[in-house]
Amino acid sequence: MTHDDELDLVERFQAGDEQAFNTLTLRYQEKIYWVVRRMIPDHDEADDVVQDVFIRAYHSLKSFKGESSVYTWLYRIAVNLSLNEIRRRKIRKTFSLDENTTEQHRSYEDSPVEEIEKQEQAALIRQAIDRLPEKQKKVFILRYYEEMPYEEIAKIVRTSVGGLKANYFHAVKKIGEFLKHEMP
Amino acid sequence: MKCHDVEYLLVELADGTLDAKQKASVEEHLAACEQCAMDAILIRETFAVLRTDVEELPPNHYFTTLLPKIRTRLEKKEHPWTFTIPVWLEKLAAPLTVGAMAMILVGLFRAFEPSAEYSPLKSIVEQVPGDEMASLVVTPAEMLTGSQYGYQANERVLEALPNANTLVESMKNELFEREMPMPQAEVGVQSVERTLDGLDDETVSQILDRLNEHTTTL
Repeated sequence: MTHDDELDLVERFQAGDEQAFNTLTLRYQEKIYWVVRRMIPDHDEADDVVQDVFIRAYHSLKSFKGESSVYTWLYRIAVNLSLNEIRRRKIRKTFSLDENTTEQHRSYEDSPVEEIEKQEQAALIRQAIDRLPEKQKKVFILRYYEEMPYEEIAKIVRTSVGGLKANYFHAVKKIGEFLKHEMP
Repeated sequence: MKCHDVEYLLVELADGTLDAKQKASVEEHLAACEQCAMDAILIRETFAVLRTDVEELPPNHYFTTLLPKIRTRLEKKEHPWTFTIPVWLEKLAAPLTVGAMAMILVGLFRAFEPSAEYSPLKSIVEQVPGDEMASLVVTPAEMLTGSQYGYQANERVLEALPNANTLVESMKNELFEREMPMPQAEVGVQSVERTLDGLDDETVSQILDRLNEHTTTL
């Protein structure tokens, strides 16, 4: 979908065509899901945030002027709402007596040995990413998983390309140090 | 090349995107610098582990049910009860909204003129130790209006009170979604982010908890 196609959909939506919003949602739902999910590993929590992203977009699209692409705009909403959720989660965790997470409760009883190892490694990677400072986490997810060019990330995170490269390097290094320490 | 110049190229070295000249320079440095060479190995091994990562997929049919769920929530929000707006009121909606916005803006402008007395966040600020902090005043509206006063207040808050996390996020969302590039607010956002980067999670949680108790009206 080109920038013009996107703008056409936005204009149609602004003129009252609800179907245009559906088209945009269907176009981007998967990408937005994965950005959110990589920041919030639990599917159900991520699902709530993804819905919030599109609901927020629905209300804000009415005043969207097209100065950035819809894609960049949606990513930024997704990243910000995910970070808000992560902060809320941290507060709940800090003040909750029950600190066990779903992941810690996950049962591996029925899995074969290799599958268990894979799941454990995947859990460690999630944990390593989860421990990154917010900015490094944003940059890492957009760069590594979304394979976004630095110039595009700069529009979302609003940092210079040089700063982003620094963030990305430190993120990868921290993940590596954590995995080295935690992996058998 | 110095270590500082090389370290950011290690990621690109690992994924093979450096050009030949840069690659030769980096490798020359790595041959002479043990620390950077160790970092290079760590980065390469990290990518190797990351490539083995298997992500847990969402449930089947998730993406076919997402839009209907969003639509249902939108419908509930838009039609909490059945009410038809008369046509004459619809026609008046735009001018009325413009008028109301103008009145609100005038009100905000007056309300947020420098005043030691007025501060929605004063109760929060007062709980933070330090006389300087107790005198600080900041609101999202000030940030959004981008007034000189708001800007100065933000700067003081950002220097001394690293707690504006929630406010900054809402402000950033507002700025972006309304496509309102406000140079002053941008400075504020960046400044807060720099401050927040230096805080540990526990401190941020405590500050956020305190903010959450007091910012329901913001």
